[in-house]
Amino acid sequence: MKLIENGKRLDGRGLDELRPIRIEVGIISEADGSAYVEWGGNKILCGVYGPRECIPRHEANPYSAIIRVRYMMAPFASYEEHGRMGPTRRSIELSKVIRNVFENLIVKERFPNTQIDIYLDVLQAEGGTRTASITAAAAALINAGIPMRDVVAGIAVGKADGHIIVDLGKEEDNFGESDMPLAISRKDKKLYLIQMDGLLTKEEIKEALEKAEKAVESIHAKQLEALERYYKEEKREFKW
Amino acid sequence: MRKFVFPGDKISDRVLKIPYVYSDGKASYAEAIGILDSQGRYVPLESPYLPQVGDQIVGIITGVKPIGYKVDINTAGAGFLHSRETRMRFHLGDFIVAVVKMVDEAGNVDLKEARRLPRGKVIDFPSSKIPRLIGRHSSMINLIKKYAGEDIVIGKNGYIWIGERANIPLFISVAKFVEVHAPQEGLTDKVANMLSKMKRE
Repeated sequence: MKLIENGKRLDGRGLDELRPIRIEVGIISEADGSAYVEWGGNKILCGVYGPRECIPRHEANPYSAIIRVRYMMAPFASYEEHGRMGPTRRSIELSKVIRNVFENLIVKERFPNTQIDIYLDVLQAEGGTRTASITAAAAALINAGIPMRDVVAGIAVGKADGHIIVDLGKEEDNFGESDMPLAISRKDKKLYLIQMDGLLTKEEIKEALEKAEKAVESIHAKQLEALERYYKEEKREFKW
Repeated sequence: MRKFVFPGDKISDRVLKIPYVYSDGKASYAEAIGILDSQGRYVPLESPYLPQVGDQIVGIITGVKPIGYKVDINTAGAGFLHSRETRMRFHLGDFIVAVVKMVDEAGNVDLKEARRLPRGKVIDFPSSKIPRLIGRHSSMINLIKKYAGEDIVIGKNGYIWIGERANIPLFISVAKFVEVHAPQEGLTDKVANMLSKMKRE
């Protein structure tokens, strides 16, 4: 199967082109913060609760808040191994890597003995759910007013048919040569997540990181625009 | 010029020690979404309540123990009211108004000067917008009380008690208006307009 032909990808995108992204903020009235992200065929709902009392008590940290992330794919989200409920090897791993991103970003010392819960539900999946989840969770945390040092967004880069490509879809992820999901912050351009599947040479990684840094700016802009739109709007849902 | 700031945006070239701001030793950066006004003041739009000593708060009794009471004060951990701080006896579910006596590093909050509030309703208003609801020299709350009744107690923690004699639906609609328009200037005049229009109808 050919993934790239005449500089166009399977879904007609160019090599550096992102899928269409839509972000909504504050759509769950009972949550402290929430966000909904549509990223190509991915549909992700995120709710943030807290800081609230840590349960069980013995896990509480008297010096900082603890952060819990629960990533879950709905049974109808996709096919193959995704079509089942409950914690799987994959969802436990993703919860852990997403938690690591936000443990380094949230100012945890502000809320000792508390927990902050981030619930991520993937309603529909089309490759790149972890990067889309990080993008959604960052917007939801800002909506909840949880202090963070920076805004973060996820972006995947990789290689298919010998070309470095940005924002991999499902086919490129499964049948391409390499996939590298990243989480990049806005102010410092720091990497908060880097994983890699497949093989890339040193030069290819350098090129991929440069492309990712450029592409992530438009995602940050979409996050901020969604938040600004929510706080400017006059007819919004109230928490009481 | 008012503009939105997001986590990581620079808000000052000096080191500031105010809530929801962090610094790297040279400049100060925002930690939460907020508004930077023309004088360069940063006001967070959304922020969990951080108790300060001396704050007047509204709470709900959630636990009765021999040495005191556990009080829900809209923070992660419950507040604590020691029996020696009050002569009154409270029951589960009572609404109280109290003052923050002490806050420690572990997030424990001790209360004092507690007083029971009669039957009524407690609503949860965003604590970051409470200053707008009170207004400069209490101008906003005095205006609202003129129309909705005197039985209103505002806690700094975001809980607001409304007594049965006050006009609860009117107060809630005004509070919603204030919540939505909190970032705008000249809010008291707008609320006055709205209230007089409501009265005519």
